[in-house]
Amino acid sequence: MKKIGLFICHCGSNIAGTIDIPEVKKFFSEYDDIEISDDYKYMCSEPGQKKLRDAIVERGLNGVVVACCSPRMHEITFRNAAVSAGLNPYKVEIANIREQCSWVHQKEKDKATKKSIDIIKTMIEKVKRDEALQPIEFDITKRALVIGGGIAGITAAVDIANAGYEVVLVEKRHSIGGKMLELSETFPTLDCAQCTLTPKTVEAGRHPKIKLMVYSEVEEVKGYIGNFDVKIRRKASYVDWNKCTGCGLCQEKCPSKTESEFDHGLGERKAIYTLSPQAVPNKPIIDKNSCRFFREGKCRVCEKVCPVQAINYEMKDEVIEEKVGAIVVATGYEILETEKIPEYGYGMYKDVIDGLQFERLNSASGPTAGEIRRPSDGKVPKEVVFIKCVGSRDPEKGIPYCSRICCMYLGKHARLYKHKVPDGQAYLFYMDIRSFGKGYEEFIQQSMEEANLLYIRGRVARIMQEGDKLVVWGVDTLSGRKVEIKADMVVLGTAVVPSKGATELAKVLRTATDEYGFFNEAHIKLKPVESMTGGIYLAGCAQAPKDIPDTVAQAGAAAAKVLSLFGQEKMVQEPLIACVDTDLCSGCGVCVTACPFDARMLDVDEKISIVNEALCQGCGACVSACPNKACQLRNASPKTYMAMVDKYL
Amino acid sequence: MKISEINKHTGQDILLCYQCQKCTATCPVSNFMDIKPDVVVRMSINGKLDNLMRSRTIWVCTGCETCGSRCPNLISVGKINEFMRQLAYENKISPAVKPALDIHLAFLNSIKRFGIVHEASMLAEFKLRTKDFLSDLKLGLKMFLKGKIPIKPHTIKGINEIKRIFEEK
Amino acid sequence: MKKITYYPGCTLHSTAYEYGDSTEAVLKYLGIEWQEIPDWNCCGAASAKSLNHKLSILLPARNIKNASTLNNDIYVPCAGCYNNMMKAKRALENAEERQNIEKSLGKFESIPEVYPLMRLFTDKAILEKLSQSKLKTDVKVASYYGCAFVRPEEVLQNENPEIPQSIDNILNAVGLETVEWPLKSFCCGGDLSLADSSVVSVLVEKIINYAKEAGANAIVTACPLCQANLEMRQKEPFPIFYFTEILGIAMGIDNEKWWKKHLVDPRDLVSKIKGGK
Ligand SMILES: Cc1cc2nc3c(=O)[nH]c(=O)nc-3n(C[C@H](O)[C@H](O)[C@H](O)COP(=O)(O)OP(=O)(O)OC[C@H]3O[C@@H](n4cnc5c(N)ncnc54)[C@H](O)[C@@H]3O)c2cc1C
Ligand code: SF4
Ligand code: SF4
Ligand code: SF4
Ligand code: SF4
Repeated sequence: MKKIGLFICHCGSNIAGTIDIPEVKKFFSEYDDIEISDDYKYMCSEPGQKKLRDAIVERGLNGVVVACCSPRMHEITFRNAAVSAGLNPYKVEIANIREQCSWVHQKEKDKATKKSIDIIKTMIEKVKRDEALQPIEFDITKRALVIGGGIAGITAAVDIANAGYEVVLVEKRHSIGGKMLELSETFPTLDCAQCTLTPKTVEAGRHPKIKLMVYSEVEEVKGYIGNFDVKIRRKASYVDWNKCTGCGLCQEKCPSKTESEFDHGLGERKAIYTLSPQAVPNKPIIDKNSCRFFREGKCRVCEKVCPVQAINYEMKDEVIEEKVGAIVVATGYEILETEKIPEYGYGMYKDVIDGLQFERLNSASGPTAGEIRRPSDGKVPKEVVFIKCVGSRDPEKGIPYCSRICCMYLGKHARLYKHKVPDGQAYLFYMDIRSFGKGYEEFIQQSMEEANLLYIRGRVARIMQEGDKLVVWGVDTLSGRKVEIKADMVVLGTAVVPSKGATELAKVLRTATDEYGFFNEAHIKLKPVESMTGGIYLAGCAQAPKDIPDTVAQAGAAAAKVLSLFGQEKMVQEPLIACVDTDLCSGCGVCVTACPFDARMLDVDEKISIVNEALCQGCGACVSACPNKACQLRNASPKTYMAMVDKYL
Repeated sequence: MKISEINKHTGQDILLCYQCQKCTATCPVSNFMDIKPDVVVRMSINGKLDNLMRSRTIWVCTGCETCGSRCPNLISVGKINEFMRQLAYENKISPAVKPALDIHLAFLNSIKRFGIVHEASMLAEFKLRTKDFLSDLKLGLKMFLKGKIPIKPHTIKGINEIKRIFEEK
Repeated sequence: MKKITYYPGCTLHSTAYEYGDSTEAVLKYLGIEWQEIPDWNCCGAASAKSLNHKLSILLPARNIKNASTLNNDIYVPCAGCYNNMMKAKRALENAEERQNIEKSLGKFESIPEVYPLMRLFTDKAILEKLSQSKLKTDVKVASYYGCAFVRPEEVLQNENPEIPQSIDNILNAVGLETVEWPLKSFCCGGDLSLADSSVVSVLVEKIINYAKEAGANAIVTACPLCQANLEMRQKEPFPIFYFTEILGIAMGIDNEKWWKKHLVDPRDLVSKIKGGK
């Protein structure tokens, strides 16, 4: 015999203001299978929940319908209340009479009351058929994968490893450190980037719990929160790093030179090279595209000079499999290809450079050993123009958002320039000065005072080469006058965009990126480090442009999320997943291809399809694909739904 | 006039303007304008169309569209100026740069008569309208002597269709 | 053999005779067949759009309609005409606007493609053909595109509006070196030339100074309005060519008549381009 309790919530006047609650209550008091029909001002409040608990115990209810707001709000509240009174939580259903009724029909009270009765009727049919289900439990692989070895990835990896869990840290380049490795000095304190970064890279490199996999990329990810199977491709470096001592002899003797990516085209590197003098690990790779041996079949100089025979031209890519329980994505950013703003002549005029190039010019390990010399002729520039918002806040040619860091780093650049060229003049074209962080406004103010920076509000129209000068056509919006500056060098504060391959990686991870390619957080305010996919967390510029302080904070938060997952004994999962009616299943396998989570496979002996309970997310893709109606979601079978619809009609 | 109407006629959204003044910095002739391009946008937003219709700016604008191609928000001030010129003409507002209107009228009259432009009679009408016979006299003579300006006009066959188009407009 | 529909516009039979004649000579040489749009009319130039929007669409739309009977792509030498015709084409591509146009002009069977004349020569096969005629000279020129080929966005085809390349590619193919300079698509003020020459002189001076600064001995354009304006409003004699004239020289089919039409006599430079010192 069914004994169902109905509890109708007023939600203050949200529901009661439109729906005639006494009428509804009366209607159901004489209704089949209803043991009790009750109402309360706020069902979600403690007294409301008590009503529900007491009725379960006193009346021996075996099903509950709460007519209230959306199940997204309080389904969990009432299910927990039922559990504490001894009723299986999956025998509690919500009839949504607020979002789907009272709020949308405020002007038609009678109709709304009728509709609420219909909604409740259908949910009673559902509860009548609901089975008592048990949550599914499974083990967690307590190892983490961190993708991207910038300051974000390093921070997250070290934090997790320090808590005692193993971490696999995968980095695309052959050393960790990310963009911070390329920076010279950092705002707001102007301390040396290397000096703050290297203790971290060294710690990550030496940590017994961190497995560093550089020059590697994640190729395939299967599984779900708690249990991922990952395939990682380690690219052939042509140098056996176990033998290599990092002596650098090969780099010294290699005859092939090419443009250095690390110096953003301002300097050169050899075909066999390490990223930077402070690189971790400090081991070289051979770049096939520039190596004479790979291109022309002759050379082998590095092989000859290497004292420990570490060179191996036959080396092949390796694919390594790892099992992890959580993933942190920290793939960072890139800067916009400035060729997209052709009026600024980037790529055409040598002395128009971007922010990262300026960092290299100012860096002691850079192509000019830290002297500010312009690329075209090596002269010290006496008039330098810095342009903000290049490509940022430019929906037409660039991207509409604010890149958040360029206001600060261009202010920093101008100030560093003045430190090195005291008789030089720095002009900064700006739209707004966004100095939002702690100590940032003070930093900018101090720069203006100390370095005599000339801030001009306006966007630059065009940059043109005139002899050895760059003519900058701009405007000073505050006086409404056009300005023309004959500069020696121009630095563009170029927009921050997602790292190359971010969208492809997101597909591999089965998580989402936003319209620009940054990884999407689950909720912009309340879940800023969780991705849209369980067990995958976000850190640093992979999620959105940010400075180092914010990057480090988010990386710490991502690590904390991983640790709170690893702190659980077992993973608990909702049992509302797919199941198979073995009498109907023909073993055709359509569901196997339909499932986006790889949760379905065929049992070859029995010729039926089975469900991997740990992987199934209850999305229902197989249910709609199955031609035999054999796939069903628990407590949501076609029979149940037909009964609900019947009642409604 | 509502902003939405200006937007419709010019095919853009002028409310997106955030006053970076790249247009003014860009415009090759903004030095010769009484109302600078960015202010044209502001005044259109604020409904100061009368000032715009009476301005030098709308007649000095060459319609080069550089503003539109560089504006981060794809706003072409040239298109606003063009629209204001049309409105000013429709409303018979006397133009701040009279020869600019004169040359257009002489030009269009030539098309209306022949279907194509006949430079000699077009220039004659222009000179009559401006009553300025001296400027560019030498230049005109030189062009004439080089045979660049044909004497005899040619009329297209479909001239009646052209006349109808002019009447319909 | 390639066939095209050709819209010379008013100027190519009058003030820009040398552009028209050199174009026809070059087309003949390359074996490209052309037909003028039957009974074409003036597109309204800068004047129609200045005073009446509808007129500025209907005039070029009539040309498109007449051209559609020929079933070939339309090539337009003048930047102003090209710009107006493209805007009419864009209007025809919009269902509502097309209806309005058809109310006045009757039904359109088809809408042909519209290209600037220079696009014809950047075709790979034709570029190859061009490169069989090589100039041997150390004369350098600055290619100049002006506004109307590259702006606004709705008329732009296959070109970077800040650094256009078509004319450069064409001239380089016949062995003439072009300088890279920043004012390739800077406005020369052509539309204002008669109404306010003081403004225009400033622009023209800027353009010519920059071309000289970049090391050019002449400017090469593709637009009769720019060409006339640059010749009329300059201070010291600086030759302004049409790109088809240069092609004519390279092919050895140039005509003394062309040079006589120029307001700035280019003959000294022509002989240098032909290989004299
Ligand atoms: C010119 C300039 C100056 C700056 N100056 C300052 C400053 O003074 N102070 C400050 O606070 N901030 C500054 N910043 C910002 C700072 O660079 C960033 O906040 C910081 O680098 C973000 O770190 P991250 O780890 O998120 O990203 P990144 O530093 O970009 O690191 C990401 C790492 O992931 C790797 N990666 C990418 N894709 C993959 C993949 N698919 N698989 C494996 N690995 C991958 C990359 O190789 C890289 O090593 C500056 C930025 C610029 C452009
Ligand atoms: S083989 Fe020669 S070119 Fe290649 S990395 Fe070694 S030394 Fe350099
Ligand atoms: S941080 Fe400053 S310079 Fe960068 S996009 Fe934002 S406002 Fe522009
Ligand atoms: S360039 Fe565009 S956004 Fe900037 S002031 Fe001009 S119209 Fe406004
Ligand atoms: S279209 Fe007019 S306002 Fe715009 S840049 Fe050209 S001349 Fe200036």
